[in-house]
Amino acid sequence: MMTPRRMRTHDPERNAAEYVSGEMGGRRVRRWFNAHLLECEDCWREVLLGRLGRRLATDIREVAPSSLRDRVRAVIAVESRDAVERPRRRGLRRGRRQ
Amino acid sequence: MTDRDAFLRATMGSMDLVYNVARRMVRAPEDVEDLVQETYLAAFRAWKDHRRPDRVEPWLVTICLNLGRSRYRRLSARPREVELSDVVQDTRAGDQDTERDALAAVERSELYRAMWALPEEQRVAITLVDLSGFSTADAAAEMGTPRGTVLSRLHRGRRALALLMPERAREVNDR
Ligand SMILES: [Zn+2]
Repeated sequence: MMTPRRMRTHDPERNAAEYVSGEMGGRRVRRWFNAHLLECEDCWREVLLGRLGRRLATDIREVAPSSLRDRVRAVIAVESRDAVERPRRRGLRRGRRQ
Repeated sequence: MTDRDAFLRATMGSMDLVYNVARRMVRAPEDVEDLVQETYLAAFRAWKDHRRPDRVEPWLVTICLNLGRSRYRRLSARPREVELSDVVQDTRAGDQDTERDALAAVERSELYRAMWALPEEQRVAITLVDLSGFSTADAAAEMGTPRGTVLSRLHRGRRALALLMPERAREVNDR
């Protein structure tokens, strides 16, 4: 089988990273790598570990505590009150531009 | 609509993501919440100054990451007492199936521990690409490194996570 030029260097780490991220470019390259996976133990193992690692990395997503939402809203409210007061002092300088 | 309303409408839906990013940048739960708050405050200030992004989510992630990086450096200088708080936070979850939730909590705290065992740049690569959905090219721009470096950090991080979870990695080794 023809090996696309950029795949000629065997780099299980980089190949697996791209493959698992769904970023392996070009249909020909993907086809080559899929075939290669069947015969290369190293790449196959790296792809399996990469997949598992990616799954683990996303498995532990959590929901933000609702108290945190309230806290953020409160902080933004305070900040926007400040903002109403502060520009008023700067208002003259700003007015010219607007 | 006021600036504040527009900002909240545009950003509050991303809070779970920002929270999870923050969870990967600092360890103690109270620091995580502080970091999320700082992120939203910094974002709101930029928003008021009309520095508004095309896409809100990657923008918030980037702010959180940058704040988190400097914060993490400060925090890691101080002694850590965290193992317990990882678990405390994790047991918060459950309502229905408590047994399953407890199992999930144990696995989750193991996962966090595994993640904290990674070098920072691997954890950041995983946070950007796997958690936040950045392309590796965007992650490279964000991290200021060539894409090849991101690919290798990403893969090493994923592999380390997999291998640090022996129960799950057995699936791979047994093949
Ligand atoms: Zn190979």
